[in-house]
Amino acid sequence: MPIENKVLVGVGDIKIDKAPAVLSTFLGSCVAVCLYSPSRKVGGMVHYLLPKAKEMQEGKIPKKEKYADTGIPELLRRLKNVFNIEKDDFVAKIFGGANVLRMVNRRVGEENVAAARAILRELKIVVVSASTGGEKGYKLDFNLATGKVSCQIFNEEIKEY
Amino acid sequence: MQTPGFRPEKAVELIAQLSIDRASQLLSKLVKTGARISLEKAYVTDLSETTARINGEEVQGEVIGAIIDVTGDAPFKFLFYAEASSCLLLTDLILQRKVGTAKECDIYVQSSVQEIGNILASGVCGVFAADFDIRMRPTPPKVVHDFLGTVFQEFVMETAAETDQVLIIESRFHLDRYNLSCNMFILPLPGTEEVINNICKTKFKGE
Repeated sequence: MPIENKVLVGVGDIKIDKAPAVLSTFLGSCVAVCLYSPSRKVGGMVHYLLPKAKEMQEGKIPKKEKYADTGIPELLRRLKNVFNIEKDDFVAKIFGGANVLRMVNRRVGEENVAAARAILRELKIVVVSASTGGEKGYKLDFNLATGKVSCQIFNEEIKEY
Repeated sequence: MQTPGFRPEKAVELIAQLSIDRASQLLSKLVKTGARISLEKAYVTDLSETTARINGEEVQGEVIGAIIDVTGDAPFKFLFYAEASSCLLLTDLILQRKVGTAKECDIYVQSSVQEIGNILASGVCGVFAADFDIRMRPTPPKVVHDFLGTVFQEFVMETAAETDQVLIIESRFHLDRYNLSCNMFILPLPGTEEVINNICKTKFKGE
């Protein structure tokens, strides 16, 4: 059944919103970090591709949303600025990082998950739940009214986190 | 359907047209039934917007796709995909079995999708080689059975890491007799568009 108030999150994208919005995306080797303020019922999602941004070249600023090390702090910054909420009010959830193409030389998914955990640890934001790894894609619906993330790994049952 | 993004240069549109015509002929021959192109467009777009649009497509059930890296003078990535039920039907057509024989995504179905991807990508390479003197070589296809959003994301991943704006050549084939649709995307890697434009300018100037 179609979800009302659905906000689609693309690759290398950040979306923030408030209840009753539902932030939705699909993941493969990319990772989605969801930040949520239970007291204010607002949250956001960053869907990034790679763990680390490239060095700036010839004054070109890389798109922050594509990388864990720039995307996660950017998501937090936007949430703080738009909703005027302190960092300590947020909890985090991590999803994705699958090895869909069964690559053996480089496991981008694992690197992405490790980067999310390290950056959130550095920012002192608690990770309350996660579903990561494997070889199949993820479908996510992050409900800002409840803070729950409905997560379906391809060909598996839907679980709530 | 409205074309997202803005239009690429004429040379790229020309090569897109030729590639899709060739791929359509090959698909028709392979499944031994007429394939109609119902949608065909080449556009430059923002990757986040495009992937969000794909994530919002109504068909979000399982799809089976073949992703192919084409290396050479003008490298690009190639994706062929169809809904899983359509892939079962395509398998029966290719193997010349009674329609309805294939029941699940088994090794035959995966091999058939792999073969379709391989043949179509080789056909596109043939257009580059024969008409534009560009040397191209497809790598073995990677077959992915997953959500459409996941398959498309893995397809654009490498390019998305390099650039924000991408050129996408998109086409949808319809087999009327079986009410079956399948999709094909060509994603030139950064620098390829320039190579094509330069070659076309030189070639057409010389003729």
